[in-house]
Amino acid sequence: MKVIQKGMAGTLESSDVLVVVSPNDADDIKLSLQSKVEKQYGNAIRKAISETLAKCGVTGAKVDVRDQGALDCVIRARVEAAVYRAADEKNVKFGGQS
Amino acid sequence: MTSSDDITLSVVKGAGLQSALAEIRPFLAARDLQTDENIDTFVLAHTTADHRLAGCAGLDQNVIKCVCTSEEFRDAGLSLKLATEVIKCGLTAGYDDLFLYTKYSNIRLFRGWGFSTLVEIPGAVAFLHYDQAAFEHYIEALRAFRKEGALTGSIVLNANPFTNGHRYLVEQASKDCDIVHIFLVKEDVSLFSYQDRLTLVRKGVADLKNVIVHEGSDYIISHATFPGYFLKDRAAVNEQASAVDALMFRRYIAPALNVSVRYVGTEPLDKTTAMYNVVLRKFLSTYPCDSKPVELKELERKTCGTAVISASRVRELIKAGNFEAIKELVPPSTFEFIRRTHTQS
Repeated sequence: MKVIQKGMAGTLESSDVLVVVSPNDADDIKLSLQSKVEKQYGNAIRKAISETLAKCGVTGAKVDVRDQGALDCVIRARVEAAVYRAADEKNVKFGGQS
Repeated sequence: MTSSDDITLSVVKGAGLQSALAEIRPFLAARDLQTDENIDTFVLAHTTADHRLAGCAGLDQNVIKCVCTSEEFRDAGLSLKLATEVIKCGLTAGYDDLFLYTKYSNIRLFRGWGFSTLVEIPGAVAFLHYDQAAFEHYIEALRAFRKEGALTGSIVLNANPFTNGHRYLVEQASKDCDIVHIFLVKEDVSLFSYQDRLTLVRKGVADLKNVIVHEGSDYIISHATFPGYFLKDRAAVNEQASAVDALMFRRYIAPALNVSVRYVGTEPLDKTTAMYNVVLRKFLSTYPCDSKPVELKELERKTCGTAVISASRVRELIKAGNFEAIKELVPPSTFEFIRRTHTQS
């Protein structure tokens, strides 16, 4: 999917995550992550984000993630929803089911 | 205990704002807060059961204001619900970064919202923003223009439009310094559009090879860093508000470009700018801060006949249709533009 606008998903509430995906002039992923549990789970969170982006076929995007201690599955779901919105894709297949 | 699940959020803007204010004003007043008249969007939280106002957060373009929650909800996560909604409103409206001013004592609350402190004046005010990554990217891009070991000056101009007075200021700085960075105020609230102002400044200084003209940004004399700048009628400009802009320059922009001198013209006419120069000197150089001081050079304004040259004089003459008088006050490129855009009937 191609990111053509700002797409947001999630909240700043406890155990959730706010993801903002926006267009990037360059063809790379510029990820910025803020997390309460950065020290413990920073790498796992980054992995969840980049895997989800790859699965959605996103190669160029700015991705801003504010994590308030969300579970792995929540992070993946929020990233995916934000990407769908950023790509203005209405034909939603969450979790990559066909 | 009241849970924030019993809360319904709504967003009011445009026509709905007036009636909502009847409810918001007393809510804020009861908590010693003034309702800011410039807010264009309010996020409201009501109790679902009996529709009482439980909290609010406002947006004045890209600046978050009037954030308040009722006492009974202060530990129930209501603030983060409001935060999510107001941040989404701002980002959806197309702003790249969001800002807020708060009392020094409330910084912690807004750090919990994911905001980072840009500048703070201990005991008084703190200026925070949402997108630290965007800001670092901006500063990094500026750093590409940095020249080590060069005497570097800077000028921030609104140039509405670019006059011989601006030209004189730039020329002097260009003679004094090895390199001069000009920043153009980006806010589009002037008679001349941002793009037109930018074009005229670029044309007006094109022959000065050591002068670089930069586009403006949210981080330098903008609606966010210096709201008072754009309210010329207000006689008394809040010193703290202009201090924030000066400290932004000293802490981030000057170090990125290695700027050691900032140039301004003396200001005999305009109260906002006159006050700004005083505060600017204080916060750029004498105020204790962990960033290197930036020297402020105030140059005597260039005159034409007995009056100083000012862009506001040029705008008056445009209104009066007195093009001959304008010719003496502006460079040929500006004059040509004014003649072309203001004489067709």
